[in-house]
Amino acid sequence: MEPLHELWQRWQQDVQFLVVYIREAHPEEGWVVTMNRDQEILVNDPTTNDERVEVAATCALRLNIRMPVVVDDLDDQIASAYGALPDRLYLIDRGGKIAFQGDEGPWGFDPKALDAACESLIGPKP
Amino acid sequence: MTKHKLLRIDATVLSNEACDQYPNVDGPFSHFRPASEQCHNVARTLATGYDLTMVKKLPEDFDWQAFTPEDSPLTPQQFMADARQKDLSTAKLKAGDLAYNFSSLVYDYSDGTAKDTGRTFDLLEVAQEKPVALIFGSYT
Repeated sequence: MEPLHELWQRWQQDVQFLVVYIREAHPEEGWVVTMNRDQEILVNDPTTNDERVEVAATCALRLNIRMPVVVDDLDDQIASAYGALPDRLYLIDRGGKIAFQGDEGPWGFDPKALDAACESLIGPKP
Repeated sequence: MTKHKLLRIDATVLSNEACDQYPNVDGPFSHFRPASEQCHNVARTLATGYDLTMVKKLPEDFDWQAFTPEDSPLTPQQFMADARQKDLSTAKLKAGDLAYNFSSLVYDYSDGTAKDTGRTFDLLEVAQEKPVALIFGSYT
């Protein structure tokens, strides 16, 4: 998370950062990946909104997320609209329009591209 | 990139390019960053002649076992074929479109504890004040 926190600290005066916790990409009921097992990360897919909030809290605390967090509901409406699975970055301008749409993660998850988009929208930052 | 162009790409070069991408991978998915050997497995698979845009479809000879424990309920192929997964990874919006609005409770974990702030975040309302960076992700 550190590069994202660095971005947040750099731009927070001008840009509101928000983490949107969405459906787990690799819960124990789905495609489990070796890297998670190696790090003893085992998550069961939440079946209620409350359970999802609990998993989001575990995620945020273990990853030391310092930015504000919202949690997508079980109907995944936010994730669906933004094509957010497994992870993705966006920048919304002051008119409410999408100024930057990152590529699909994990390969397309690029904080540097978000940084460049912030600079393009706000102007250079010392 | 076409299949024929990709066939001419040396697997090692592609592997290095793939690994070079990984320093950019951060956030909730950062622990998924594979070792260079796994990068190479992906690159080798791609270099056998698959269009890069087909990665989501996972060709039959994709070395998925390198990423997947034996007791995984789903294989990557089953995962990628799932309509719900496809929907959730497909953006319905593009740059220039009005953002999809949502109003959600805000949680604060900044001091190492979980706090429901009682505040609601309304995207388009906040975006009237300043631009908003959205970081989507999960734990796994």
